[in-house]
Amino acid sequence: MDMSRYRALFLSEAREHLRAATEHAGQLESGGNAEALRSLFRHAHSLKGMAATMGYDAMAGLAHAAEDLLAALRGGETALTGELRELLRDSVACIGRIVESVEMERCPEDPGAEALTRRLKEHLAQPAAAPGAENLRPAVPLESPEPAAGTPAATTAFDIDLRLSNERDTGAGGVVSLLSRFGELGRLETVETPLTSLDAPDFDGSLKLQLISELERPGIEARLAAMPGVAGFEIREHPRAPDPVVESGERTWMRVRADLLDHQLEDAAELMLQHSRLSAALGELPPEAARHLDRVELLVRRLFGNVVEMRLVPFESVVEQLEHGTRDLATRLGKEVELEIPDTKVRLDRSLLERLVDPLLHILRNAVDHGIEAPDDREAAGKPRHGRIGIQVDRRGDQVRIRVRDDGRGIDGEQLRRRAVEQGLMAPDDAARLSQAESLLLVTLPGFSTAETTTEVSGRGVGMDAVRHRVESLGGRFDLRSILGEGSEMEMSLPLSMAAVPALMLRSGERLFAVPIASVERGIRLEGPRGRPVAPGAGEDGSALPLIDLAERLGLPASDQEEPGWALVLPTEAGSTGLIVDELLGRRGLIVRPLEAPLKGLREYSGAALLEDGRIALVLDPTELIPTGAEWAAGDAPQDSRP
Amino acid sequence: MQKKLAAWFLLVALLYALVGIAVPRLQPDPFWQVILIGSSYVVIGLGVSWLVSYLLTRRLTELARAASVISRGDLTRAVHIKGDDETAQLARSFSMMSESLQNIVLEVSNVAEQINGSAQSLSSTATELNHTTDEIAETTRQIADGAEQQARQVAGTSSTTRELAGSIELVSESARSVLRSATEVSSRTSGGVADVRRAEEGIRRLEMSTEAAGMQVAGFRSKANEIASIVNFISSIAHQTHLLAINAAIEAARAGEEGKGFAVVADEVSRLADNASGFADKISSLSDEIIAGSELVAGGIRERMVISKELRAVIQSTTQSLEQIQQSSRDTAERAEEISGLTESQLGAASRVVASLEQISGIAHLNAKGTEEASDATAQQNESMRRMAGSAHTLAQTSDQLRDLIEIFKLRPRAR
Amino acid sequence: MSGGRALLIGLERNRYRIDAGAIDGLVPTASIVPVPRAPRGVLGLTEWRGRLLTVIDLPLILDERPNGDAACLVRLASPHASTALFVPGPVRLVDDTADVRQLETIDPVRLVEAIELRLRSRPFRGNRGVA
Repeated sequence: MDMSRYRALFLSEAREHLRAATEHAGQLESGGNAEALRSLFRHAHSLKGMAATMGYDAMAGLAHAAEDLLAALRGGETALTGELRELLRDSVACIGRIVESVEMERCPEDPGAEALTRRLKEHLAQPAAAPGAENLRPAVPLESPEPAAGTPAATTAFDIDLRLSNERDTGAGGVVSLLSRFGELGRLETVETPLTSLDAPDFDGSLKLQLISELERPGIEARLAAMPGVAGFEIREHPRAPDPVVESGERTWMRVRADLLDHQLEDAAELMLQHSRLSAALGELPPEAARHLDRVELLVRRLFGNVVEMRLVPFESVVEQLEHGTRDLATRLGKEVELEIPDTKVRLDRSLLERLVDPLLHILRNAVDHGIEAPDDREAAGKPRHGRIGIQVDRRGDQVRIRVRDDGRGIDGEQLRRRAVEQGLMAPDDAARLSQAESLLLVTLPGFSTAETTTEVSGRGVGMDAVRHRVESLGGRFDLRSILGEGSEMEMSLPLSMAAVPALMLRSGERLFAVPIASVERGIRLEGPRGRPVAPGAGEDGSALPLIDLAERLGLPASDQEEPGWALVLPTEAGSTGLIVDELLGRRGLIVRPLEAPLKGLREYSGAALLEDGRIALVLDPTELIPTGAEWAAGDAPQDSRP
Repeated sequence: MQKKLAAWFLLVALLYALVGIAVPRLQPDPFWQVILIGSSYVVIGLGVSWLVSYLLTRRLTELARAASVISRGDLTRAVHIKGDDETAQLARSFSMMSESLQNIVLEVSNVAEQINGSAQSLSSTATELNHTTDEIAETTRQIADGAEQQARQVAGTSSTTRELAGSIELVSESARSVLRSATEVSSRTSGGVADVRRAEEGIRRLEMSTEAAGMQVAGFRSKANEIASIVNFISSIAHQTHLLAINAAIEAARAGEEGKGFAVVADEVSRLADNASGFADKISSLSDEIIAGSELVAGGIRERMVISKELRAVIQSTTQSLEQIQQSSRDTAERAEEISGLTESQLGAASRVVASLEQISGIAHLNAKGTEEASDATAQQNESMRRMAGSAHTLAQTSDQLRDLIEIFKLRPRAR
Repeated sequence: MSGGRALLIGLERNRYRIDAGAIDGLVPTASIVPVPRAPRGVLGLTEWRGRLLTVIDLPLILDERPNGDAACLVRLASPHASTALFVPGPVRLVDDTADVRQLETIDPVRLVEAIELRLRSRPFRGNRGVA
């Protein structure tokens, strides 16, 4: 990204923060007080974020170190000595020099920065961990982009007025796909503009959002400017004080029983639910009472956030299991495989991670069995004897992306198509129409098997569809890429925690449903009568968009609604399909709970969610609602939207 | 000619002298002499005169023949007689005459041709003109008819308007009488309204006291309902207590031996809950009875209320009707006054209309007359036109005849 | 299970017995959201203390009818802690005596399995209508 455009912005903001920081540093020297420390911490934090966004590493590192030290000072772990005052003052000055060199368009560095950073860290490292408390803290380096547990993850709330460009995707669908990109920036707290109004003729193309982000304003502005479909925006920032619990700087650790945490999450969720019910039941309150209730709401939300945070565990906790499984199979198959997981610090919700272990193991087994060739074959193909499988875990906003890459023989889309036809999963015509990417996804069709002979290990065809189903039921997306002869890559994008899967609420008849936004391409307003709806604009290639009525698919009584309703465009292996619903009700973060026995096998749904007002929404699993190629051929095809 | 005649005379004289000389020589007998000389004279005279006449008549015959040809119309033949005697001169002048005749005929022929053409075109123009005039005549007739009709209609309208004016006068009269009676009605109803209002007031007081009684019963009933809802609440609490007691018992059962004592308590609670539930049911049925009883009382009160309401409604509607009558008679009086005023102005307007209509009628008559005259004139014009067309036709015929006549002449081809 | 306790359920025709160990507790009924395409015998989902419970229609499974106005949900014990039986009739916890054991016993685990089996045995897709 070209950052130079934002340099001016950076400079004006940085100078502002520097001026204040210098002032507060001065106050520290002349006696020092808690208020000055707090302010200094805040400015250091902002400067760190801005520098990191702009890629000025020296400044970011220095500000980060200063921030950490300030946090320790505030928590009382470290005493504020004259030496420290001096050090902080020097650090602020050094940051000022770096900002100056940015202004002069020189390299954003200062010879003193490194030494100062080191000294700051030394002071921080001095107090030993409290004796007796077991330090479970993973060896997360301070430079880690992840806010390590206990690090004040100061977030800022941004009120954003977004103006959409005119050539944006039609209607709510386009906006939804746009909003789903906000996951990269942070947590989208509220969308004030009701989604249903987006298709109204008087919709003026402006959206009001509230975004909670750890990023600084310039970073958000830069990313917003780069978003397609955004014509302009206005940002108002109101900083949120970092959570006091986290601020205390008390970094001792203790083990917690996992099931207690599960209960904790349930209770916290119920607490939120009961609070919102209580608010609704109380109605209009005297101001005094309303203030208390607001305070309760804040605390309840914070409690829930903390519980969610508590449940996050680093990815490394499952690494051994994965390594073991891979090694085992490789040995059995006589293959040489090396598993590389460079970054294991990314933290995910415990139960989410638990549920990912099986799919990951399956992908790894597949890679070892089908992907990586026998050592001799590899040598013959000019590759090193031992195959490499890499798992890359990284975090983008509140999403985590897991990529499993191997340097094996890759997947032959052509062969997959052939096999799909042979196994009667698809009509030859449909198969021929698939793109390369789509044909790769054939492996995720239920009942599909690639192996010529069914082996004990894999090839029973029950693997990849389960993987994809699991990922999507967790509110994620599954993707597959491959270059024949060079290897393949499976990508899973999942919400970081169970806290909230961004979902689109919809109504069919009187019933409330939800669909994870990740699995929706866009939503479109249908035209024509309800009985014979027509999708406007049709598909991108000009062909008509096939439509399926959700009510019909679920055996519900046909809608008596007169308006044509909406269609959610869902990507499928055989192109996009529109799912007809009566109404789109907007976006919501949902805590999706999987259906339990005896509904476990009910694959139309990836789960159910309890809304804050106590209503229950069934969360649809789009992949299971849309017939596959074979079913289309068998007359189960959705109605054609062609008039 | 004279020279030729002199030559011939000399010849005859010579012959005579010869004979006169010769005969006495040959015939001494004077008798015979005389006879001979006489007969010779006769013979010579005859011969010479035959010769002379032959010579003369030969050219004349030729001339006569040429004249005959010309008389048949052939102007091509030329007469060629040599010499310059009278005959020749005659022949030449004859030729010249033929020549000029030919020219004249040619010119005549041309003129006739022209006349014929003009006559024909005149004829056709005349015919056309004739048609046009016919049309004009037709149209004019129609106009004349229309004008007459208009005149008739205007006359009709004006008579209708006169009638209207008459009726307006009638209306005005009746409006005045309505006004009188309406004012009368209004003043009479005022008394009635006052009476009815007093009656209504009495019933309202009666109703109020009934209502108070009804409210007391209703309050009683709402209390009973409250009891019922409290009982329901007790009942649901009992149900929940029952469930809780069972839950507690289940927990106790889990706890095994230690839970035994607690299980007894839970069972006790459960039984109490059941008792409470039973009492609640009893209270519920009692309160149901109370509600039913109060329902009866309430029913009676309601009935009375309904009757008094009906009564009041009747009175109210009577008052209303009276008031309405009053109002409407007031309205009627106002209207009648309005109508009276309006008819006045209507009357004026109607007579103005009649006057204008009469003017229109006159103009229409004039118009009709004028048109008729125009029609006559057109008819006349038409007639002369027809005559002209006739003459043109005759002229054409005449010129045709002329051409036929001229065609008798054979003309020498001439360079044009 | 001697000395144990059992839950007695009275429906219109018969009384039934559930082992107290197989249940977690009783809950008053709340609104139940039906689940389209759910197998026969599943009434729907309900919320209980911020949790979701799958409700099984007990009278339907037993070919029974409700008994009286009182109704409650019987929460099952682990492994089906998020499943509850809809019981429209009086319930009572009693000592699990020999008499009691004479009654028809409801085994929740098998009940759930039976319903799940219905789900599995039906062809998953292309099967319209309610199972």
